[in-house]
Amino acid sequence: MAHRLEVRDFKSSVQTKEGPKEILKGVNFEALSSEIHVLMGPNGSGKSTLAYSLMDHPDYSTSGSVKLDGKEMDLMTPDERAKEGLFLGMQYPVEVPGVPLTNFLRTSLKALKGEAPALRSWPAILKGYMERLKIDPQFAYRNVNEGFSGGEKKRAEILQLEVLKPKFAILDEIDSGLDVDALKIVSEGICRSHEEGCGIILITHYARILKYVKPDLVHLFYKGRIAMSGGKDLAYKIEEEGYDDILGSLL
Amino acid sequence: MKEYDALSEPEGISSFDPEAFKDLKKSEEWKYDPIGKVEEFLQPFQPSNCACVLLNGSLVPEGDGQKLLTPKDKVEAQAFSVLKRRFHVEIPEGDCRIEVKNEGKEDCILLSLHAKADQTSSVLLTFDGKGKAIYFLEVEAENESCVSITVLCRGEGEKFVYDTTRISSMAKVKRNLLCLGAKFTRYASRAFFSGPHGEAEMNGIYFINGDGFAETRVRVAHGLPDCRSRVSYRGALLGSKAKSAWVGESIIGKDGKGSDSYELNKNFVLTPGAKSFSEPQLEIKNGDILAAGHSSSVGYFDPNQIFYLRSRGIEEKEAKEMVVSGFFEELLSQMGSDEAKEEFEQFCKRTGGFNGSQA
Repeated sequence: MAHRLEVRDFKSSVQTKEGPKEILKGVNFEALSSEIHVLMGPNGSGKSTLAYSLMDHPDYSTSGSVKLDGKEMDLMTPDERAKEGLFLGMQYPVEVPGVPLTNFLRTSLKALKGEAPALRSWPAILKGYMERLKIDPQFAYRNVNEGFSGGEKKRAEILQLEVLKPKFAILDEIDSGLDVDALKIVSEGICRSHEEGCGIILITHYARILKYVKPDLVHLFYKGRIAMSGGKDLAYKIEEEGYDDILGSLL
Repeated sequence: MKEYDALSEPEGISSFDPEAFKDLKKSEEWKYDPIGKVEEFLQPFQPSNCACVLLNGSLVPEGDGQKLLTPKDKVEAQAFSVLKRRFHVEIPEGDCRIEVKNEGKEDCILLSLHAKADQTSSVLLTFDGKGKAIYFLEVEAENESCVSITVLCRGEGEKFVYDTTRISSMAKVKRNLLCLGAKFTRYASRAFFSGPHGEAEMNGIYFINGDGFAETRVRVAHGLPDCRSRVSYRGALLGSKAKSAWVGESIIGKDGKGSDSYELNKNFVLTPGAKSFSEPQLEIKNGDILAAGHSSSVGYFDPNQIFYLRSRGIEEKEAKEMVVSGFFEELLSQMGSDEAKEEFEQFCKRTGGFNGSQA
């Protein structure tokens, strides 16, 4: 059965010296876990704010409704949202010194599933996931994202996605800074997760990832809300014509 | 003693006469200390003879340990003037455990440890007990010895420790300090080289909770050529009244050609209101050196780190525990002492974690 994510009149503001500044001005969309949604939009349009706000980042105050399978998440903390099945793949994954990736993932699995994988079998399981993403298995014993290159960090995000198996993944510019080979590897990971039933909301600036990740819907994000939605042709149109031309016809 | 003083490049006043020093309240060296907490040590006092020293579980008889350096502050000079009991331990080859306990009234003892040339040893030394105490710890590592000494500073009693390490030619000395849950601890750790090509690694962890106070002052003096030192201290403060101070001095003397020194201090303030002071100092009198540097920081939880862990389903309390454990993990590994690691883990269990909500 497909899961359903519903976002209704979702607003988000950030505190500034001059007072609260509204970034998201009423976002509405609905996604099924059987779908891949792509979110594109000019810099500063609020795409990352949407990703972080959906996960309850402390920098943002939000209002409106976010429901996963009909359950309201508005008052949930980030860990509660993760337990409901939401995952955020970050553009700039955070380093956690002194915490090896393997320990972090095992702790996370325990938190999400209520039970940690058996210690004896865990290293081999993790190694299997890492090999598929062409991550050196030794990285399991390195501290989370510490000293990882940009591409390694992105692959580590997809590793987490594949291990944790959420219902929906919001991937914020997971393709930025990747070389052609890494882009293919990361894309394959996203597609594998999707085939296993994870809904994908992919935030990107470039249509090149759509060669591998085939979207069902493309949304054009502008000034804190979805300005236009369409099929994958919209992504190619944006890349060819630029935001100004497309948005100009709307304004 | 004069010879060693010259090698340790002492700055300021050094004297066995307590009157030679300024009143503590006016002294720069005591600016961080809650002096009211340890008033009795500031007056001449009679040692209680309650403290004892055990080597691998057996009582060590009184002996003739020597003080390596002339006192450099009033409390040290005063304590030395009333010092009656000295203990000496020839560090055995391999591993050993030394316990220093004071369960009675205030006391003052001197413990000297000596490692022979070429020997390799690892010492676990505990300062324990509910009694107040001033300890002089004098460590000598002879030529080409390789000595690791891990000091666990624990127990309720207020403590002053004046710890001096002399490192001979080509000797390698690792000094680890764990100061956990102190009510009041002032630990002065000094190291100096009495021969060229010596190495000093000075590591320390302090974790202050409640209204505790710990001050660690680390001084490494490069008075001879081609010596290397690494100082790495990390501290955390849990409780709005917790306070710590760290002062690191790296002194490269005029004969310290080829010196290589680095000192690092990082502090983690877990509870708003807690105070942490960090003061790295570097004094270079010879420009022909390999390297000299320092780094120091005082910080809070990074909300992005906590958010990252929470976004993976880990609850806030556990996320904070992971971040704090990670903060100390690197240094604990560097210490290479299973006992230090176990002591730290036990302490964390006793204090109920590091979630920062404990006032």
